Amino acid sequence: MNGLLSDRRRAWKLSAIVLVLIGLGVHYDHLAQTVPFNWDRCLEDPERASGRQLTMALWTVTAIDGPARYEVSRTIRDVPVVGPTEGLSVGQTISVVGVFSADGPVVVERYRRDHPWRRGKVLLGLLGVLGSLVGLPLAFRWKAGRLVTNWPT
Amino acid sequence: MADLVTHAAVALLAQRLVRSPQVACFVAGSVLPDLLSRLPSMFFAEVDRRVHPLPTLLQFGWEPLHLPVGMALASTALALLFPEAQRRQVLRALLGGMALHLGLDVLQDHLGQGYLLGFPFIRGSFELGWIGSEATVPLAPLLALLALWSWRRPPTGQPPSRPPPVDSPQE
Repeated sequence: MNGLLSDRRRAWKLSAIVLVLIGLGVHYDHLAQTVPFNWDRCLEDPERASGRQLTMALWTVTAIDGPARYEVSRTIRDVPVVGPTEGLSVGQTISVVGVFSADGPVVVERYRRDHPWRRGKVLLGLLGVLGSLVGLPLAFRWKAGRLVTNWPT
Repeated sequence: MADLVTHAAVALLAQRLVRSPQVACFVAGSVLPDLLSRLPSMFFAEVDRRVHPLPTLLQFGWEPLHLPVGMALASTALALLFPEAQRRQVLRALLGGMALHLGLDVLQDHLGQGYLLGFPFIRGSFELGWIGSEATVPLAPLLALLALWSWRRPPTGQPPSRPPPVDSPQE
C-alpha cells in the first residue's frame, strides 16, 4: 500500500499529525481569546460596547443577589446579569442572551433558557465515559506493535 | 452536543444498517470526538476553576478534535496504528462514526453558537438547531436498550436460524 496509510515512515506521519493537531489547538485558542465579543471585550471599552448583544450558552449561576440580579460563570467568572431570579438556584445551568450596559457594568437579560435536564446529561456523560473506559480496552488490544480489534469483523 | 450514551447507542443502531466490517472502530469513532476533546477540556476547566488558573490553551486547545479537520487527522493517526491491510477499512469506519457524531451534535440548538465546521479555513459557525441541547437525555435509556436488543438479533436480511432437524426414532 502506498501513500498516507502505508507503513513507510509511519512514525514521521504520526508525529506530523500530532504536531498539526497541536498547531490547530493553539490557533483555536487564539481565536477563542480574540474573536468572540464577550464580557471581557466589553469591559475594555464599556461605552462603545454598550447595547451590544451577548450570548452566554450553558453558563452556571454562581450567585443570586435579590429578585432581579444574579451572576453567571463559565470561562469568564461572575458576570453580573440583571434579570428575574425566580426559579434560579446557584449551580444551575442556564443560557442567557442579553445586552451589555456600561451602567454597572452589567448584562441586561433579554432571554433566558433553563436546562432542567442538564444534570441528567452530565450523569449520562459520566456513564458514557465509564462505559468507554471499560469498552474500548475490551474492544481493542495491542498485538505485535499494532492495534487490533477483539470484535469479530 | 448529545451525551455519550446516545452517541454510542445511535452508532450501534446505525451499524445494523451500514454493516461496516469494522464495527468496533465505527462505534469508537462515534464516541472519540467527545472523549478526545470535551473530556480533557472539562477536566482542565475544573482544575482552573477549583485548583489553580491554567493557560486557556488547556481548555480550548482540544476543540479541533471535535471538528471535521481534527476528526480526520485523529482518524488517520489511529488508522496508522492498525495493521496496514486494515487501515483503509478502519479509517472509513472511524470517519463514519465521527461523521455520525457530528451529525447528531449539529441537530442541537445552542442559541446560534454552533460548530466551526470549516475551521481553520472558514470562520462561520453552524448548527441546525432542531432540538434542544438536552433533548436526547430522556431518550438515551430507550436508545441504549434498543441498541442492545438489536445486537442480540441477526442483522436484517439474514435468514433466521433454524433448529437442527430432529432424528427419526429407530424402529
